[in-house]
Amino acid sequence: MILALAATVAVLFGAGATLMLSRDLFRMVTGAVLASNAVTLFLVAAGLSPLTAGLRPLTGAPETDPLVQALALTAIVITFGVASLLLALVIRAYTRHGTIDLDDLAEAERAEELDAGEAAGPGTTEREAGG
Amino acid sequence: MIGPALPLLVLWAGGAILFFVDGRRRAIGVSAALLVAAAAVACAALLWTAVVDAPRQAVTGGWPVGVGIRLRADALGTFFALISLVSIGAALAIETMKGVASRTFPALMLLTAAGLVGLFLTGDAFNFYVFFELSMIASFGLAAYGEEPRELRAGVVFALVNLVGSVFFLGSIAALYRITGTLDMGAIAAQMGSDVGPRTLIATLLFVALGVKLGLFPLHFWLPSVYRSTRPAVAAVLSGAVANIGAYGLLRFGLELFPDSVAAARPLLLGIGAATVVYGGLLAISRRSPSEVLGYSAIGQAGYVLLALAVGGPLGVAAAVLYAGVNALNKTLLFLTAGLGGPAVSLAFAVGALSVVGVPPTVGFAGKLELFRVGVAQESAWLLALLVVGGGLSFLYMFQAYQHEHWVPERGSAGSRAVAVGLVLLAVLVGGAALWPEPLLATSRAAADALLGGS
Amino acid sequence: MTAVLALLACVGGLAAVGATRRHPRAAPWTALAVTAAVLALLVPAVRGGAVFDAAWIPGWGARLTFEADALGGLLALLAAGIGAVVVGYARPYMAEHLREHGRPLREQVRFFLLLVLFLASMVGLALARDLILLFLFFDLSAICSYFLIGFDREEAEARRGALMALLVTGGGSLLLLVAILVWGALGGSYDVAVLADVGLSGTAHEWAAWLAVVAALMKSAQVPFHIWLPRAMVAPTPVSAYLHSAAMVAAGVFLLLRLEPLLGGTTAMAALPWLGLASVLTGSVLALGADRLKRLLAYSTVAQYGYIVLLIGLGGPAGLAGAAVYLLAHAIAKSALFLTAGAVTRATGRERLSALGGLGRRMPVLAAAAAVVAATLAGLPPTVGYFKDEALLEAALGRGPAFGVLVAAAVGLTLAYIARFWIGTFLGAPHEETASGEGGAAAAAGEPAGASPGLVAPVVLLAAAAVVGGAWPHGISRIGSEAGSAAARETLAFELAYEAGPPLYLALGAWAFGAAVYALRRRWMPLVEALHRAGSALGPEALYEAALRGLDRLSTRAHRLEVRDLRDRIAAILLPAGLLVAIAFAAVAEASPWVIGPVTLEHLPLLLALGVLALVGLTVLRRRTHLGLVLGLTAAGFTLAAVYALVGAPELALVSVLVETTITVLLLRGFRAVPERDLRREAVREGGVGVQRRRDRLAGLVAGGLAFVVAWPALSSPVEPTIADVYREHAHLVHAESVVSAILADFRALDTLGESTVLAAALLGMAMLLGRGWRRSAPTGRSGPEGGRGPGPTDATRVVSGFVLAVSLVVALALLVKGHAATGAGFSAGLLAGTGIIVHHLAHGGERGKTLAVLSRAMPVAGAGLLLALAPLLLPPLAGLPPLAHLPAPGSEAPALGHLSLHSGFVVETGVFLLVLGFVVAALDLLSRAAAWSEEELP
Repeated sequence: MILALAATVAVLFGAGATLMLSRDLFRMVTGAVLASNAVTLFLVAAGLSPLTAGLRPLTGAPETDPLVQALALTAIVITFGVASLLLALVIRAYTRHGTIDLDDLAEAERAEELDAGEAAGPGTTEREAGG
Repeated sequence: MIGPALPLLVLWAGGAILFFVDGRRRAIGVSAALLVAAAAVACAALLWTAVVDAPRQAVTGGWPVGVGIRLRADALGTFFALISLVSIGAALAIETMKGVASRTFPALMLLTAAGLVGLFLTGDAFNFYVFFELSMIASFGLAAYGEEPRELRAGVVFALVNLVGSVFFLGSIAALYRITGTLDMGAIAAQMGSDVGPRTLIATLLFVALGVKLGLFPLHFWLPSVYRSTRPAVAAVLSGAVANIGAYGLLRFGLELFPDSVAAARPLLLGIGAATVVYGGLLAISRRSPSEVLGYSAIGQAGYVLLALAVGGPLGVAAAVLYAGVNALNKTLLFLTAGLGGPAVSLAFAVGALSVVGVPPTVGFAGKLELFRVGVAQESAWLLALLVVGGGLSFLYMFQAYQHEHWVPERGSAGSRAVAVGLVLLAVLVGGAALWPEPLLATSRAAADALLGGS
Repeated sequence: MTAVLALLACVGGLAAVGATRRHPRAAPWTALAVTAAVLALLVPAVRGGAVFDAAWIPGWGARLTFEADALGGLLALLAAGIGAVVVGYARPYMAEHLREHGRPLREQVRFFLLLVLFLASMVGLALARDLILLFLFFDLSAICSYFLIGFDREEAEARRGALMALLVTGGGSLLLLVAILVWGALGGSYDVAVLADVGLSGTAHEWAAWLAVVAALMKSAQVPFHIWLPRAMVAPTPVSAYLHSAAMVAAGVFLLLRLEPLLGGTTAMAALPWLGLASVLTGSVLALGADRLKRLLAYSTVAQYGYIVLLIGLGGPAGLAGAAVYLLAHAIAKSALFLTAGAVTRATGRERLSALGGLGRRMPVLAAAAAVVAATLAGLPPTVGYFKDEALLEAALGRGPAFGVLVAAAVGLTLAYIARFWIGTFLGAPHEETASGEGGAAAAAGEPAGASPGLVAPVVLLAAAAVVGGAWPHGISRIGSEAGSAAARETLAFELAYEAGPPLYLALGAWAFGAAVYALRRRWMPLVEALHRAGSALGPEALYEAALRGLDRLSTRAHRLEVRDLRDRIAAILLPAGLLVAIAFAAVAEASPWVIGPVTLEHLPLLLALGVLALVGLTVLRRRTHLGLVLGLTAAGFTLAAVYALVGAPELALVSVLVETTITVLLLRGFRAVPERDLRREAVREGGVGVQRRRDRLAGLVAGGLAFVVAWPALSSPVEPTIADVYREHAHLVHAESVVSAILADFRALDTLGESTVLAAALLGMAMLLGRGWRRSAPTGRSGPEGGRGPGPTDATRVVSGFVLAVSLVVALALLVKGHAATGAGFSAGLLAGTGIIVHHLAHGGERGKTLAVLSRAMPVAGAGLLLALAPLLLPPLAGLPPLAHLPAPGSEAPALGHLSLHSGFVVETGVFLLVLGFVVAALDLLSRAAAWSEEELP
């Protein structure tokens, strides 16, 4: 049982991490949510006493560790907030640069930076030390 | 007498009220800065009490410890809270004088401050996580502050990387609860059993989570471009206040909960610290944008904190505490000068640069001297050599940046007289602190006692 | 005591000079008054020799200990005396200098400010007996010189020179700091007098001695660290004069003298004569070949301080007293020579020997005064310079006759190069062709350009001092022997006189040799020039340049690597994390519990659910389209909810379902901001990159493995009992049937409030990103449903959505009211109500005008909710209760509204409800608006 829980946490987190590695900003956000879900599951699992863990349907049997439930609720809400904000960031990036690809975004920003650098004129990269 | 919750309540209430109002109005910015100042005064009073008397503590709802959440105003927490509030207050004040560009800016600053003060004062591991997230979310928002956010890519990466850090952190807290059955840090330390296995692994995960915040090599990659792309006021807060989470967390968790793991991992930690110092210093050299120089400098200086922490003992821990505070003040001052010009700004930058390299009587000298004292006490030639090399690199990159920014044809101005005066005041604080560093030394020593006495 | 008063006068002087900001003409006069005051205060102080001692930094054991002994007094008086002359010279010089550079006169305020600060640092250094204090002034002088060398900051040469000086001397100070701290640790004090009595020895002491010596050599520009000094001559001439004589460079040898009691007997001390001699020879040879006046003088300084280092190394009465005399005589001579060079260049616009000559007629006074000071440098009687060489040769002879002859030969070189300087400038045929540069205008106008009296007078003054000193052997002997005694901290007897003896014979030989060298200059000049070239190609300067270039290149390369491969990669965090965890795992794998755990039939449903969850998680990876991705995520969330339900956490299950639903809605809404083609293109690209994909899979595996390795042993080591039991016991006190609700709304309400504030902060952040002022600034010029993406809503959807809204609101209310007692709470209720409103809104095509009023008020609703939720935190302290005190008091009867009991926990829940409701609606509104303007803005 313990092994199964640990393995599931690992798989979920690994999947989330893999998604976060992609260049697609939306996939990254999705991955972040999945990884957060994994850690919430781990939190819940941390509250499962190995002896009482078992089938507890929704009916009124004694709860699992109520403290862990409260903590997990808090964690879920935070994940929710983070995910919303991340989504807003991604949308903002799209409305500014017209891409949801991290590499394209980096490219676009670098180009912008170069423009700004040329505007500042030559000599801004002059070295101070040495002669 | 004031309760340990007072600074937190002031900031929190202020943040909630500012939620409704338009922060672009000058009066709002000023009141926000005043609230931060009030909270800073409360922190200073709590710090004073903790140093000369005993730390004050309280439990929410008046419940016994373990039911309610314990807030404790010991020297370590209040010191970090005070430094962070100075940073946030200065950034808010300067930005208000320059003109706030977004209506939610003051509220987010106050909420960042509330989160930070909360996590510095809480004695509960999970509550720490909640406040940690509060300050992080608020700073994700701040990272996008400005007329037109410049580098959204940096913002996205910042948020995602720190999210990974948060996930690791929460995982560690959950695992700690699993192996100790409690959440109060004091109780966790007491309950920490003898099985070294899970404990070491949890400690490692925590180290990664906090190392990401602090920007330790090789977990730092996100940091320079974020500092470069955010507005000066925000960069000042990120490096002067939010990054303190990492230093404080490493000290608090590392030394209070995992002293054995820290001792066992000492060579590794020293290695990471040394690599961070050298890497940060080296990369700063070739950067031309001062904000980027400062970003890498912040990385390098974080390495010193880790080094001192890893050396440990009252001397090492005190040096780590002091240096973390010093670095925060330096970076606040320096980032706030970004993009400005004129004699006052140039003076402020010069003072900040001198403080980074640790020339007396700047506050940086106090930090540098403490570090060197650690090296001497350890009789460690390589540590001293590293400090000298790191110091030499900082001379090079700071003054290269200074000359490039303020000597090569003078451009720009401070914008307004108020900004210039504000920067000079901050520069006087940073520049003159080591004329009488005794309060700083006493504080860092009391903080070290608070950490080491408990274990 | 008055010595400290002198220091305070400097500080006051800073303020006084600073106050002349609006009247820059007053700045030099003020500075002059300050230096005069300092001088006046110093003279009695040095006579008295009193000690000032006060507590300073007990944490380090540093004290404010000043002592005006003969050694410190000598340097302090030199600094103030020469300082006064330099300030006097700078008054006419700087005004002209700034005018030529086209800079406003007010900049000279900064110049004089720095000069006074420089003076203060030298006086402080001279008087400090506490080593920490001494270090403070030592570093301060480096900083002053940095800013003064770089005073003409628009010139690249000045910037490079300043930076190099800072790197060498500032870097050197780090070594000194280490030495000081080592001594402090060994001797238990930072007081030189105390340390001298302790009698330090051992390896650490030897190391410290070497570090201090190297730091001093760097400061005194000794080989191979001399390179910064010639570069520093780009400073305005008064600065050079000061820097080379009584300030900065003098600080290095002063440090050696001050630390003599500590250094005595160490190998570092034993090496000093040879180190000094190396500088003497290098400096002299370079000075012989130099063409620019200031450069010649700069190399001469290297050589001259080499003699002082040599003297200190030789030690004994002749050595130490001689070093003091040498310091004095050289300071007078060298400052005067620099001022001469400045006056010459100012008058002619030329700075090279090859372009000068025959100026003696045009400026006879200057020529005469310069002759005196040149003779002083060369050690000719009857100037004070004679005594410095007498002491030097006497000390050298103490080492043996051969050594004496060697040193005498070197002394001869001084005569040779300074003769070149003076003769080349003032004698011979005048050069007539017009030179450009400083003062070129005056020369071109054909005026009989004499040197300006304001610039000549200081030189005359110094020349007079040199002659007076030469006529007063007894006084000079006393100054020397007292300073030497103060350095050694024992009484040294030393007497100088014009008398026949081995030193005089050697000196005669040296002068003859020097004259011969000068006469034969055409013969050896090619050789010196060749040496010069070899030195600049292979010498320390080339090394410095190469090191800086190398560092810069390395730095650039590392940065490029970082930007290209690491900066934007989450893997750059995951892989090091994996490595660290792997190390930890390797260390403790055997000590960790790895428990598989019981598996019975009862566990089967849970096992199945977990299996499904893992599968769903993995299949998300295979989703190509964005819609598929979101559906996969939702499926994972719902399965997770099922797991929570199975482990007996119904509240979690409920919240999970609601949150997943809301996230799905938000994500889908977000996608609408991006046109379908961009989404599809991205999906195709994502599928296509093979190598990258494999690398990501690997990093993902590492991440999963990391999680597994930490999670399994942690889950395998549970403890019983946990504090959950404590909460179960206390729950009845806070009017809650559900322990979870009691924890959320009361015991750990701080968490709940923090979490709610996270939502508020996220909302503020979203508003900052997408808001454009979030109140009433709807995108303009848009009407109709969502820019025609997809068909508009049908009547049926509208009707159904109305039902859905009504139902969700009712259920939400029920959740809120009943929640605190049993299952669910403000959060679920808020989510449900919010989602209901969203669905209704979407069903109506997202037209803002037509939807509920709550849409435009969502932000204020959220804020009100936050404030309400915070009330139980903020209000009780006002009444003297702890924050979050449960009201009414725990255990007492709460007022009830039907089944609803009213207490502080319920206030929290209601606040959270409003906040979440506002959050969901506002977030969706913001995303919708972003979608709208992305359409307007992008092509």
